Parts: sequence; structure tokens; C-alpha cells
Amino acid sequence: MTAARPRLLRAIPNNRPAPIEVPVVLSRETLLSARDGDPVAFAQLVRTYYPRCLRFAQHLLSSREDAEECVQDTFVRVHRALHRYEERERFDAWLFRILANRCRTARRRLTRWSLFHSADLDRVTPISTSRVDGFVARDEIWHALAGLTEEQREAFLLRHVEGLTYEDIAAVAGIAVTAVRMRVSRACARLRDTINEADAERRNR
Amino acid sequence: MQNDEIDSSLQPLVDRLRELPESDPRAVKRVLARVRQDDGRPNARRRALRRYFSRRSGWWAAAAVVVAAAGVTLFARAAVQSSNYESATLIPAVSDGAPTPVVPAADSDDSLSLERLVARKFTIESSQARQVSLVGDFNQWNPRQHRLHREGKTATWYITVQLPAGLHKYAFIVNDSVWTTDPSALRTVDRDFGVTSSLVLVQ
Repeated sequence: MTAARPRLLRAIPNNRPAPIEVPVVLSRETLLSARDGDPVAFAQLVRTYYPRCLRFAQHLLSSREDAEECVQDTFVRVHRALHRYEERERFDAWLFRILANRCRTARRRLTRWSLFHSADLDRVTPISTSRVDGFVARDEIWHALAGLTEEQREAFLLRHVEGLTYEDIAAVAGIAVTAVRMRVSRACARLRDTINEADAERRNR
Repeated sequence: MQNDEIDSSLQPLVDRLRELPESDPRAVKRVLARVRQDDGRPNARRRALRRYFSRRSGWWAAAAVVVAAAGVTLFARAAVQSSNYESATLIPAVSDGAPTPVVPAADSDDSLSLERLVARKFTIESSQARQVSLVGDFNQWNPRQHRLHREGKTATWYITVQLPAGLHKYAFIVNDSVWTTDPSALRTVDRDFGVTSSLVLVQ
């Protein structure tokens, strides 16, 4: 028996193309060439990983400009440090460790204020149903993510969006695997609560 | 099912989160251009400072720089205090007819009192706000210095602040947590701080 689709994201049309599964596969040869200083191979590496990095940074920073800045910084650092990369580590885990550090630094600069430059104070409140469907869904995603702590959001995204293993995430975050599991678990619980709250609120309208 | 796994209630959310942003070939080109410009080392200024202070004599030089800076600061303050305070020009609030509170941009600072101050009214509409602060380079981005006032029971919040002439960056902080730019003003991204601020030109 399939569970009913939650109301929160019911606005997303069912015939939408399937989400792009993590498509990043860079051949070992290209990666090694990039490591050895081949600029063409490095350009290929950037082209391959840029979209994923931007997606992760955008979800963490909530601002495209800040995210692009972070991703640029990340690739500059990757270029500097690539000769130290060792094959025994998964490359995307290595890359995301640098990216996550850049994102954390960017967020620290924002002091204690959450960065939702809003033309849109409504972003942190339930969304009016009069808006178009796609916008409702996108906004509610922001709303859901905003309910997580920075650590929970990072762990959740690395695990369930970027597909890293718990061991990889532990290396990225510099904490124990059990702590990572706890963060992801709490993030999932909080997201379920948010979905249920939004659902109940909509029913009461 | 474990709590950290994705069930059917979370799956649509995760599907949306997995969507990749629109790819912009120019963005990749920008990255590659920055990588080409990067020489793999810290920037020139930092490099020069590191080289300078890494010498043994550098510590003495650093101490000399600090003492010299302190001396210049003390001299400047003394010069300002001995100047004529009468030359300060304070212009009353002009931007609205209502008796709005006019707040100096910064705490009483001797150097500021010699500048020409102009009253500027800042307003923002927010039905969700319980409290709004104005922060900017004129109050060292301190959210406790300039609290906005609500206009009756409307959603309009306002404050009038006396600012020195020049270009200022500012933003509102709603409910002590939400950084908000002024929708009616030009915006700028602060490269160092990483945030978007609004701009106001005071003449």
C-alpha cells in the first residue's frame, strides 16, 4: 500500500520529469590528469561538479550570490590542494569537505542573523495559497530547511541530497559517525514535523 | 524504518532538493578565470605582511606601528576637541510631516559633531514584524541602537535618523532574526561580509 502523498508538496505536478540523480561521474583518468596539473582536465572537473556544489551551497546559504561566491572559492582551493588529494578518499567527499568549510565561514560572517534577504518576510511564515503552485512548493522547501539547525541541515543535505556515506559526512563535519546519524535523524524528524504542521494549517484554512 | 531514512512523506521534499540549479556556462568560466588568476599563494598584501613580520626585528616594527597609530589617534582627538563646536550644522527632520523621533546616527562622538547631519526617514512594511531595527555603517551595524516605531496599528515601521553626508549601507533586522533589505532602495553586496545591503545617498 502506498502512503498518501503529503499535502505540503502536493502542488508539484506528478508528470514532472524525475529529479536528476546525482549524475557526477568523473573518470579516474580525468581526475588524475587534473591532479597532475592538466588545465583541460581541471576544467572538466569544474564543469562536472559545479552544479552539485552550487546546489549544496544554495541550500545552506539561501542566497544564490553567496553560494556562487563560496563555490568559486572552493574551486580555487581545490586547485591549490588537488596535488595533495589521495585516491583512497572519495573525491566528492574531499570536495564537499572544502565546500562545507567555505559555507560555514560564510555563515559565520553573517553573525547570528539568518540570511533571508527578503523581499520576502513571508518566507518564514505559511505561504498564501493564492500564489502559483511552483512558487508555493519552492517557498515551502525554504521554510522547511529554515527550521533545521545549521549542522542538521548540512548533515541532511550531504546524506540524502548529495548521497555521501555517514563515514564521509563524519570526515566532512569532523565528528563521530554516531553524531552524524543523530543529526540526520533529528533533521528528518524536524522536517516531518514541519510538513505535518503545514499540512494541518492548510486544512484549517 | 530508521528515523534517519527517507520515507514517503519526505521523498517529495528530497526530490525537489536534488534538482540541480540551472547550469550557467558563464559561471563555470568565471570559476576557471579565478583559478587562472590565483597564483596558489595567499594574496600579495598578506604575503608582504607575513614576510615583514616573520623577521625577528618585525616585532619591534609592529610595536612601533602600534605606538605611532595610538599617537596619531590621540593627536586627532585633541585637535577635534579644540575646534569650534559651533560649526556643527544639524538639520531637523524634513522628510515627513509627522512628529517622528529623530535619532543621531551614532552616540555622541566629537568628530561626528563637526559633520553636517541630514535627517533621513527609513520605512518598511511588515505585517509579521514585532520589532524592527535599523543597522548600517553609521551605527556600526548595531541592532540595538535604532529601533523602528510602528505607525499606529498599520504594518508600517519607521525611524528618522540624522546621518552624515555620504553614501551609507544599511539594512533592517526584523524580529531580531531576519536580515531584510529595503525594497525601495538600491542594493549592494558586501564582498567582505557576504551580505546584501541597501544604499542611501545623503547630500
